[in-house]
Amino acid sequence: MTEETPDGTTGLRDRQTTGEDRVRMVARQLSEPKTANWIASEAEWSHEPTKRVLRRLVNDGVLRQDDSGTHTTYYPDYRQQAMQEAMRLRDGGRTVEELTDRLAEMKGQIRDWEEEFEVESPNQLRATLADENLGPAEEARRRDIAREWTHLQRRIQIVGFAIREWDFLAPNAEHADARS
Amino acid sequence: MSIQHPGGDPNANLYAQLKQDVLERIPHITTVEYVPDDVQAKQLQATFDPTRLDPQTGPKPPKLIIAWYRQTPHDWFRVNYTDPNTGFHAGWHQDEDHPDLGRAHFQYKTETSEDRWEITFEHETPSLILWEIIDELLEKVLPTYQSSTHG
Repeated sequence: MTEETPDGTTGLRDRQTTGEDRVRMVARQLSEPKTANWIASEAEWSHEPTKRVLRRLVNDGVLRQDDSGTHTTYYPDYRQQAMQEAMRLRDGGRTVEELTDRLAEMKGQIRDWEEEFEVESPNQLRATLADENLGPAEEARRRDIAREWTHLQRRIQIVGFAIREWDFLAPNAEHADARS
Repeated sequence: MSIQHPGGDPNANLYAQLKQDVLERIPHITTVEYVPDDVQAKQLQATFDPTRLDPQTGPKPPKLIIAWYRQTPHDWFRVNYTDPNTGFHAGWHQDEDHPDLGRAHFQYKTETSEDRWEITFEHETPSLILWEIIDELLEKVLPTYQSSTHG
């Protein structure tokens, strides 16, 4: 939707984002290593400024750069994004006990699915679609649950990390406070 | 994108990025919330200011609900717009529901008509796909399928 709208104005995206914004968006969400050319084209921005932004993102640890091939490629460091998410949960205004309750809730939800379907993993649940004579509605429900199950497993890992490293992740302002 | 551990998980911070890259930059949107909350973060819900939409359909705020999972080879997502004033629904889905319509489809439903057809996106980046959807929603879909109430 980058072409001009019928009345000659640009779309909302181009009014609300800069080329630099879009390079950052593209770079942080790559699913495989890509060249600066590819990233510039996806972000619809010119090559040289794109390279400048990519260099800065490499320096900031957002991206990793690989010079071993014919062309330099870039790939996000997803560890940094997982850390950001853990920090977001740490700073979310909950106590460590509240977050632990939520962790237990998510694990309980997974236990319920394990019992209901007599399986131990999302893929085992997906496999029941082949084994059993299910109607389309039940098939769709199991697919949705398998997806949700995978998602909750990922969330449990991040929430677990935030709880384990609760003190380490404390923001600066808390050091002066009384311990909760 | 095989995911063995959280450090390689492209989903960890995705909703925070969609919120920051797209939803918070849209003047028509008043609030963005995680559903059911930011711990489970199963979906994102954006609430529109009904007075900023064109055409205006009534006093109740329409909502956009986003469920997005990054996976190989193609992401799974559903982006659904609903207007409680008119019962209008529009959805952009890249899921397994209509394989006859290719990888992704658009569907809409008004009181008098409904349809769905295959769509393709220009981008591969989730934030830029969401921008395509929002631009389409505001520039084409709402003016085409919603009529003004002036109420």
